[in-house]
Amino acid sequence: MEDQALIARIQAKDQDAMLLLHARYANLVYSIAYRVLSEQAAAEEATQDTFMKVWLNAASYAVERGAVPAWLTRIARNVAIDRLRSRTRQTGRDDDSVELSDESHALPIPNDWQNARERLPELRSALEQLPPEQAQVIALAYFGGLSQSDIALQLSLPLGTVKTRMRLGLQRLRDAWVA
Amino acid sequence: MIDDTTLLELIPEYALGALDAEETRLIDDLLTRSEPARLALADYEAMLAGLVLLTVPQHVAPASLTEQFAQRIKSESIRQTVQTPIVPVPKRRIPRALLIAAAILMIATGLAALFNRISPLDPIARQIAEVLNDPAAVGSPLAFTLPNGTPSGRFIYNKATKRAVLQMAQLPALPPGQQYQLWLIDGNGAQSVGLADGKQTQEILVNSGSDLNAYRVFAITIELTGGAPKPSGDPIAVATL
Repeated sequence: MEDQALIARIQAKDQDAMLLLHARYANLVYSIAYRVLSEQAAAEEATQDTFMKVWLNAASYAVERGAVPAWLTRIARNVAIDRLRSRTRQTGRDDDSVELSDESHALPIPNDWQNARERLPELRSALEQLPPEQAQVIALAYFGGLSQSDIALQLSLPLGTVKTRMRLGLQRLRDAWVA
Repeated sequence: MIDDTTLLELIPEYALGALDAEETRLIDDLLTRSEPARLALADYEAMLAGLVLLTVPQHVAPASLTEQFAQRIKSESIRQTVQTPIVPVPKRRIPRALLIAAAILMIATGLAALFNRISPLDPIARQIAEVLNDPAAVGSPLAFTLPNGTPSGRFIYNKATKRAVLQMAQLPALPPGQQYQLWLIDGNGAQSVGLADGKQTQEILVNSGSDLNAYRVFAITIELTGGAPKPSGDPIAVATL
């Protein structure tokens, strides 16, 4: 069953459809949560919270807002970042870079996301050429949950420099994505 | 006062989660009334999801998560039926300085952690992930007849690709000399498709080696260690295909 049909059934509160979506995307959601939280128990809780949000808010999904994996990725990232921010004690992580994963460890492209299959090679190429200082601010925001002001403070850089680096980096990646 | 055109230009940073609270609130408001803003956001979110696929190492979620989630949505459905009022929990606000200090600590730990925490996927784990990510796969819950414990499981399969994964949680350990044996059953009898031990959680790749269309039932029996050519007793779990 394709993702869109699955979501339609979840919107009608079909529990079997929800469990199939969970089984299909648990690794994706868990991997994102683990990347942000660096800890198994917290990543498991964030995974379950992500799918519970999907179950309770499936009606908010609109086809024109993009593919289901992209929607799930946004929810998973936000849930994990909320959890990260609520921590009083944190363990070491590595948020200062977005680096290509070794292919043998990379997340598989969801079967139902044809756009990604077509566009990822260009994005990969752009990422390989992205200046490290641009990759750094993007990673600190996306995986570390830091705002531009936070990043400026952390890196002892003028806010304008952070904004410029982030804008240039995002623009390069976006240009590759839509090429 | 920031006009909509200027706000629209902040969509990339909004998608990244990099804006301050006030800017985020303004974009939230813009999204409620601007279709171009919503489309631009969807575009950047898709790109960021692509970035995740390229940069986030895969970790295999514990098999028990799906079954635990099944219990959770059942409870949630019951809760909604009785319409228990929800008391909102006030959010704790963490001082920004504390957040930044924690982030600095994380950065200081360095890239070594990246390499330490990657759990390589062996070929079996990769095949299991492929079955679970297969949009054409369907799932059948296992019905258990064991008197003790609360095992649970699902048989997830795609008849076209002839591949299947068995997810089980809280399967009781057996006495020495016994193992669980997995069967696919059609009108002519049962074909053994593997063995399993009692574990808290497990995912097993089931290769039938033949057309799954021929089978109507997946079953588990308890046999002597090493397995039996035919089921020697009643199944302790079945799933209808």
